Amino acid sequence: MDNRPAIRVSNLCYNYRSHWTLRRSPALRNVSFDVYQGEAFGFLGPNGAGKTTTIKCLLNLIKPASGEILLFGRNASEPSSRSAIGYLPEHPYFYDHLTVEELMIMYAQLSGVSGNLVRSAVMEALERVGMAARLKSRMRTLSKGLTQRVAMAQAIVANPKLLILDEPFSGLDPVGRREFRDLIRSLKSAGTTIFMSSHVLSDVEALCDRISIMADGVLQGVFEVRELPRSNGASYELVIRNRSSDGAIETLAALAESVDSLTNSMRMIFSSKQSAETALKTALEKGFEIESYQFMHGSLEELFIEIVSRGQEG
Amino acid sequence: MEKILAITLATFKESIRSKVLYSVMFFAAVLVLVSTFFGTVTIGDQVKVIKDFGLFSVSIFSIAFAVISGTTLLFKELQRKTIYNILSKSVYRWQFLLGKYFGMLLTASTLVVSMGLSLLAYLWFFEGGPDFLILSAMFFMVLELVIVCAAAMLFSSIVVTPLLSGLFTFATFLAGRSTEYLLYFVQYKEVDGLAADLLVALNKLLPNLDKLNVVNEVVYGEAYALPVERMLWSSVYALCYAGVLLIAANMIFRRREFN
Repeated sequence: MDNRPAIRVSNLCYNYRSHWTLRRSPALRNVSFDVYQGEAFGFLGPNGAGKTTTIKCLLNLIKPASGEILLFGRNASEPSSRSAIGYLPEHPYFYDHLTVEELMIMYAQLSGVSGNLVRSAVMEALERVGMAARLKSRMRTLSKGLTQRVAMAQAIVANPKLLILDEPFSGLDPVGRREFRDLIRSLKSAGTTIFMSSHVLSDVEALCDRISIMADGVLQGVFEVRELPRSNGASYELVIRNRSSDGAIETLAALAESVDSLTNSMRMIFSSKQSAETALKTALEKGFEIESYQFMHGSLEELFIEIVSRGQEG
Repeated sequence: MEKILAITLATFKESIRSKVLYSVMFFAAVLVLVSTFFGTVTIGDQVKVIKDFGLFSVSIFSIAFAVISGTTLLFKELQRKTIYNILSKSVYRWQFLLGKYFGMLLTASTLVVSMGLSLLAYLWFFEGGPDFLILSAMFFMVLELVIVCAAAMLFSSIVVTPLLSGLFTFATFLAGRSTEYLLYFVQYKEVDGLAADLLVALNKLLPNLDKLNVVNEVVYGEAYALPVERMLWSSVYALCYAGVLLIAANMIFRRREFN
C-alpha cells in the first residue's frame, strides 16, 4: 500500500432538490476521506446513507454543492481523471441486443484500450470472470449473475488503477461470490486500488484493509479492519437447554453480559473468558444440557450496527 | 473520434436489431403494395401513383422511426442507467451525445436506403428500367433526417419524458414542412404588424424542411436528375442547422445530473 491517495474527498456536500418545491435536502454533509493507492477500502452504510451519491460524485455523474474530489491528483470533473478507473455499478444494465463481445469491445474502446489490443483485452477480462464461452450471447439472454460478471469484465477490461465497485456481489451465487472475492484479491495484490460499497459485511471484512461507515449523509468514521476485534471487543456465547433448577439460572445470568430467552433454550453472552468458563462449569455441575459454547470475534456487523444507530440518533 | 465511433456503432447495432425498425419497414412495404392496387383503380399513370405512395411511405416512416427511437434513446439510457457505465469512462458528454446522434442517424438512413432501394427495384419491374431520381429523393430524405434526429436529441436533452420530447420533435417536423405556408399569410396580407413579423421570424427560425422535400419534383417533374448545386447547398444547410441544434443539446446535456 502506498500513502499517496488514489481518491481524496474533502468536505463533500450534495443536496437533492425537489422538482416541485425546489426544497433542498442534504444527501452528503462534509464528507472527507482518503483512499490510498493499492489499498482495498470498504464504503459501508445502510440504505439511503449516501454511498451511491458519493460514488456518483466521484464519477462526475452529479455535481457536488461544495467540496473537492481528486482522483490520482486530478479534479474528478475532468473526464481524463477517469482514464484509470473501472466502475461496476449497482444493478448493472446493458444494451439488450448487443452480444457480450460487441459490448465489451465498446467498453474497451471507451476505456482507451488502443486498437490492436482491444480483442486480447476483451478476451482476458472475460476469461477472468468466467465468461469467455459466452462471447456471442446476446445480453438479454443472460441471467442476473452472468450480467454481473459482464459488468465486472467491463470494469477491469483496461486494467484500471482504481476499481470502484458498487455492490459487486449482487445477484451472484455462492460460487460466483467466491470467484469474485478471489478476483478482487488478485487485482489488489497486482496493485489495483479497490473502493467497494457492499451490504455483505463478511465479504468487506475479508477483502478490505480499511472501512468507512456512512449514516444519514455523514461519514461516521474510518477503521482499520485488522483492529476491529480489539476496537469492538470479543465475546463468548453459551447456549443451554432450559430446565428448572434451584436458582442456578439466576447465578449464570448474573455472570453474563446479556441473556436471551429462546424457545427451549437460553443464550448468554460473556465479555470475559473467566466469567464464561465459570458459567460453563456451573452449568455442567448443575446438570444443564449444553447446546453450544463458542468464542466470537468482535464482528464488523456489530460495529456497523452500533455506529449506524449512533449516527442516526445524532 | 474512436470513442464517438464506438458509441455510434453500439447504438446502430442496438437499434437495427430492435422490433420498432422491422415494424416500420413492414408497414411501409404494406403501403407500397396497397398503392399498386390504388394505381390500377386510379385514372392516370399507375407508376406515378406507386412512386408517390412509395416515397411518401419511405419519408414518413423513416421520420416516425427517427422520432420514436430518437426520443426514447436518451430516456432509456437514463432509465436503465446504461449511461452510468459510459460516462464513468474518460468520455466527454458531447462525445456521448454525438455518438448517440450518429448511431440514430445511421439507423434511420439505413431504413431510407433499404426501403428506397426496394422501391426502386419494385418500380423497375413496372417501368422496365431504373428511375435514378428515386436516389435523389432518398438523398434529400437523409438530409431531412439529419435535422430531425438533431431535434430529437435536443428535445430529449431538455424534456425527461419521451412522449413530450417525441411530440416536440414531430411538431418541429410538421412546422418545418409548413414553413412556406407561414409566408403565404404575410404575402397575401392575411396578417400584418407584429403577427406578420412573428411569422417571418418563425419562417427563418424553423428548419425549412419544405425545401428538402423533393417528392413532387421526383414524381411529377420532367427532370432526370436534381441539380448538384441544390444538393450541395441543401447539405450545407442541413448540416449547419443540425450543428446548431446539437450544440444547444450539448449545452443542456452537460449540466444534466444523473440522480
